[in-house]
Amino acid sequence: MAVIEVAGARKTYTRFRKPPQRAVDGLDLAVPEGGVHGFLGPNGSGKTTTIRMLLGLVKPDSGEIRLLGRPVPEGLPESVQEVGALVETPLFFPNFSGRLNLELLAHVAGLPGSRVDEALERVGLTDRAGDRVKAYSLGMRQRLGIAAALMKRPRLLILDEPSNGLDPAGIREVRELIRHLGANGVTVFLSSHLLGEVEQVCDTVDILVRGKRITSGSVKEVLAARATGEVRVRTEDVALAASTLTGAGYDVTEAGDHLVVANAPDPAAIARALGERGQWVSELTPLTANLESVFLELTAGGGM
Amino acid sequence: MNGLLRAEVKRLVSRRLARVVALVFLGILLLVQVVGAVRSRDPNAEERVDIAVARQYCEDAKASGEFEPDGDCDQVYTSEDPRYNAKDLLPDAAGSVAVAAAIVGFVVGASYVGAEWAAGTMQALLFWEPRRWRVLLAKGLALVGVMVAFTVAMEVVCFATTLLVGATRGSNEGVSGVLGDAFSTAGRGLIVVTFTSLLGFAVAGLTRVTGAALGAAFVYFAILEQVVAGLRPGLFRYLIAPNIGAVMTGGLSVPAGRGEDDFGETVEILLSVTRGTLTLAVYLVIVLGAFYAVFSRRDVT
Repeated sequence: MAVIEVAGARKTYTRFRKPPQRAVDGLDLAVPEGGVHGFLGPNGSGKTTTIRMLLGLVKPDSGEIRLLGRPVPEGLPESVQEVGALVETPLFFPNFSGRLNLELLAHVAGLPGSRVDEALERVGLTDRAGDRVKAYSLGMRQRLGIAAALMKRPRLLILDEPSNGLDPAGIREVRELIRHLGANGVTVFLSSHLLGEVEQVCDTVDILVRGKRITSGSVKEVLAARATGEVRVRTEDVALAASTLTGAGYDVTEAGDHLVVANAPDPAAIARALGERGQWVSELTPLTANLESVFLELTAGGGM
Repeated sequence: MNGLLRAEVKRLVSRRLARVVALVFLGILLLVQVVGAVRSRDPNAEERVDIAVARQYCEDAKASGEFEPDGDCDQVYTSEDPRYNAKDLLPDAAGSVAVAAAIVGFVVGASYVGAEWAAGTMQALLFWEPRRWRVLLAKGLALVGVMVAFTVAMEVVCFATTLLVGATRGSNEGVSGVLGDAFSTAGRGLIVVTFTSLLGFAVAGLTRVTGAALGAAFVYFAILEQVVAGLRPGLFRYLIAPNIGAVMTGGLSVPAGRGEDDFGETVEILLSVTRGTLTLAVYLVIVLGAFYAVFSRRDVT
């Protein structure tokens, strides 16, 4: 069962004396239950608008949206009980303590007070829970936002840039938390600019450009579809090796202290060709695509 | 709904502005009473003569049937009487507390929703309760409940301190005769407090900025109403301020907009409490309706 289903969603913002801005343009999306799902796209590609549409904050001009099998916005009051969300910067009352902010939200959902302590402990904010939110760093606010999202013990967790403002240790903690949740039955829908992070924690990914999905699938599939077939070769005499491989029919490019050999489905053949001429290989590395290069290739011109 | 209402009440009473305003309000109220107590003293010989003259005038008028005094002529006091007199002060004090609470209600109501838009917490709340009508209803009920409770508490303090100062430093003579009037004034004040609180709430809900709501109120009351009253006196009775005045005072005569009568007097009509209340209710329905219509359709970005 898909926990998020979007079919043909469109949203154009109209603003006074400004040209209309199409944020989402016929988006289709299906996020299966379980695991961690990445949602990528350059700035302005429609990620946050999509998340706002999922949560009923923004009304689509057309299209159908279902959250946990229920239509949005009609079924949202039921769905939202099982959805935790953190959209962009967490928003809290700055003059209230972190604990009071969470208590107010717990009252709204009818959650027991113990959930507040539990969530604060989970994100490491117990000691600072009594401080006013305006005294929190951006990272602490982000943790508080994650705590609020976790209070419902959600089936689906929607996180929009959860690592914003976190230090490296905080980023790692969030990454581990996401992995843990994903491995324990919570579906995590993660929108992030940190492509390395997405690659490390996500099972599946959707990439958006100008409000449209341009690719989708498991991270492995997306990367495999754009495998380069290139091999990096390092030897003592780069020029001689280039000459040898060119003579053997390879497409070779010199790149400083090493060579890049294109269209090389069998790297062992390169080693053999060089070895037969007494040129010993010190490095032979197939160049695989990473999510960043795939993302930049797919979104070329979209900007980050 | 109970949880949402509980959260909204807790949020409202936890706000620094609400707490500061409540403390300042209470402080001013107590200060006024302390000043009244300190200034209260027995009349000197000259003042006693003035009081005796006034009482005699009252007795004479009563005997001749010239006018019917409100109460016993023994309880007639003059402006020369320096004693703190609960009977004379209580109804006006109750009215003053209600008017001040109505102004506070507008400011608190406007900042309650304005601050929410400013902090972006309206969006966060809608993650948890997506039914916007429930959010609006809970906020409105919380605001009215808190403001009415606050006003009642301040009225209780006002009544208690007035009677206390009267008993210890002045006079409570004849006060039982005005208690009904004072309670009635305080009760009508609750209508006005409810109205202004919701008005501030709705206007700030439309503008999304507290300052803009306060500015709109200033422009309306200080400029627009004055312009309308000057240019179209016949419309005066439909404006907000005279209807608030009618509710607070128990009825208010205002120009009917039909020029002058045969004696050269401006023709007036009476705005009753019922009519004033209904007019204010119509205003409230329009502004709250507009707020709901915009809020229910608005994209929260």
